[in-house]
Amino acid sequence: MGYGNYSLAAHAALTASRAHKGGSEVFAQRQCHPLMNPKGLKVRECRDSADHPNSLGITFALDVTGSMGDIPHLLATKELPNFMQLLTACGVAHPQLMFMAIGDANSDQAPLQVGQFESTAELMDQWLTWSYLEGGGGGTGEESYDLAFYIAAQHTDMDNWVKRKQKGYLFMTGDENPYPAVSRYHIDGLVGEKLDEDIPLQEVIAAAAESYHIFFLIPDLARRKRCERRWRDLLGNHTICMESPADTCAVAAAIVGLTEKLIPDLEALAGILSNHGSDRQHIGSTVRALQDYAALLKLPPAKSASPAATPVGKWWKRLFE
Amino acid sequence: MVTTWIALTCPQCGSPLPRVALWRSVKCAACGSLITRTEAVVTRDSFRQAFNRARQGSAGLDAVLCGGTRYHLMQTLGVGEISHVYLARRIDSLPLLVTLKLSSSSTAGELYAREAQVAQELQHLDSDGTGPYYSRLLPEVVAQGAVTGSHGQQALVLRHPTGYWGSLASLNERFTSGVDPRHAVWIWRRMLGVLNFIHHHGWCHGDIRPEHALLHPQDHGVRLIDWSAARKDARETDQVADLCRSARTVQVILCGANGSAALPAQVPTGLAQLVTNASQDQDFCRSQGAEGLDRLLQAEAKAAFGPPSFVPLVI
Repeated sequence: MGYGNYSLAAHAALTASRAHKGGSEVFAQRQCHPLMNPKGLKVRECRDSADHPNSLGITFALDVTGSMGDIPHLLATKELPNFMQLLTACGVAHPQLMFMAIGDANSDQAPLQVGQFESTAELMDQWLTWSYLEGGGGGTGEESYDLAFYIAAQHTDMDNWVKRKQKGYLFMTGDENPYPAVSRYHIDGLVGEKLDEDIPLQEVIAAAAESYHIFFLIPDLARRKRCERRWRDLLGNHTICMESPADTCAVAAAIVGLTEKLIPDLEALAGILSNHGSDRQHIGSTVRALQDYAALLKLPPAKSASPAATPVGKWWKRLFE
Repeated sequence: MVTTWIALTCPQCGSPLPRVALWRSVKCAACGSLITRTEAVVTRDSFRQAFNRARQGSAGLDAVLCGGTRYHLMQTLGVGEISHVYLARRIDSLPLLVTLKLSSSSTAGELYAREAQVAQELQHLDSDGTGPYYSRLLPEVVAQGAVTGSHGQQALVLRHPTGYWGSLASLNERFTSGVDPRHAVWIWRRMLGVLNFIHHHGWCHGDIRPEHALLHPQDHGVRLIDWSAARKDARETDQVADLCRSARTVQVILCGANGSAALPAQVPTGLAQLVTNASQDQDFCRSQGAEGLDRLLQAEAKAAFGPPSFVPLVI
């Protein structure tokens, strides 16, 4: 997969044509699409080609449980062309996108759906809209995000990593905590693969992180409270708390640009977003969401500086005694 | 005809397995292991190895182990009476920036434990939907406890707030003749906002001073730090003291490092009067509360400088 060229005009027309449609019209699947069913899945490939000599695999693992349906809908009706346009503006020439859909393996019929890496607007859109938005979730405060990490670690093969040691990107959206381990019963039932034992989440994340830059995007500040702590323990500053689900694409594109050093800093990012026609509020919320991650990329050189002197003898000290 | 005979034995203990092991999982009668005969079994070991590789970062002598996690000390942020404070980075393929306090006194452990407890409780404050906003301005504990391998040294690990330039005490050093009063307005308003939130929930900070407020020049943000003296179910006098001390902090930055307690002439009269009243008159602070002070401050700022506008703070 991954052949063909991307046309922004075609993609924009595709999404604009359904901008007025509701979620159930855009996402017409009422069960897992057979081609997204991971049963028997061997590998999803992101390959270089004559048209795309420097492919870069980017995976969106979208939480499609009840509370998270807004992001897939936004992507399909408006934002995905913007994402591609921003990537182009950042200088990412050959992105290949793959979509996964995540639910709850303990309660949903289709807790894991896996598309293919694609370069053309039509095929990206096809896999996105083939996703079955089951709208389930178990009400336990946990979802099966672990399955997406497992697929990324075990069942994807990207030329950017194999040939160039350039990591791909895995953007996971969600508003719940993850289960603590990949269950071998779930993998057996969903993928048809035997595990010798359950795999703790930290280990499967570490395996996926060897070939992907992993990010967990929390859609807004209200939902951050219920899951941010756990995700920050797991992913550190790669946990991104957004202020609105509408920022998803701008944030993801900016992360690629910053990480690949195609955008020098957040000020330059604001300029790119402004040129792209984003309003001030959108630019501000995008930049704020990325401050922690950008700080990580701009760390000062490690040093053991001598301790700063404690200010003493100031005239105002007596005011606070 | 050549027949190849493969003995079915348990890979764990070598005991013979029943013939059904050819087509389904069986439990070894000798050792109890679950044996699955398949062409491709994915082993956990490869994932465990990836996990171990991720944690093998070279941290040199600066590594600190606390709560089972190693941190690489990146930069000294400050030195207090009982602590050395560092910017540190969790050693992992997915790093986390933290503020790490290392004790330099035997009394620090107790204070760290208290501050960690306070921080956890503050993170759960929410009653009117403003909690998600203010929780970002309150401390978040990552770990707290003894430093492994040290001789009784204690550590408090907090999530590092990014983008903050330094404390208001440092700002005072930078602007020796005092800051522009327009900046003092938003700095005080940010402090009053947080104080209003915690006072509303019955808390007090307990130790407001220039060293305990960090400045975010770009976003015009202020973050209160060092919550070790904070109290739940605070008395009214403690909350009033927070307000008075916030006004004194503003007084300090308006006067500058080389000044005295007298506010300079560049401070508009109404604003100067408000700062003076709030810093000296506890009854005034009690009657206004954080919200009332903020209203008065907005009114004085509008009278002196016109409608609110963003004035960049260049440091």
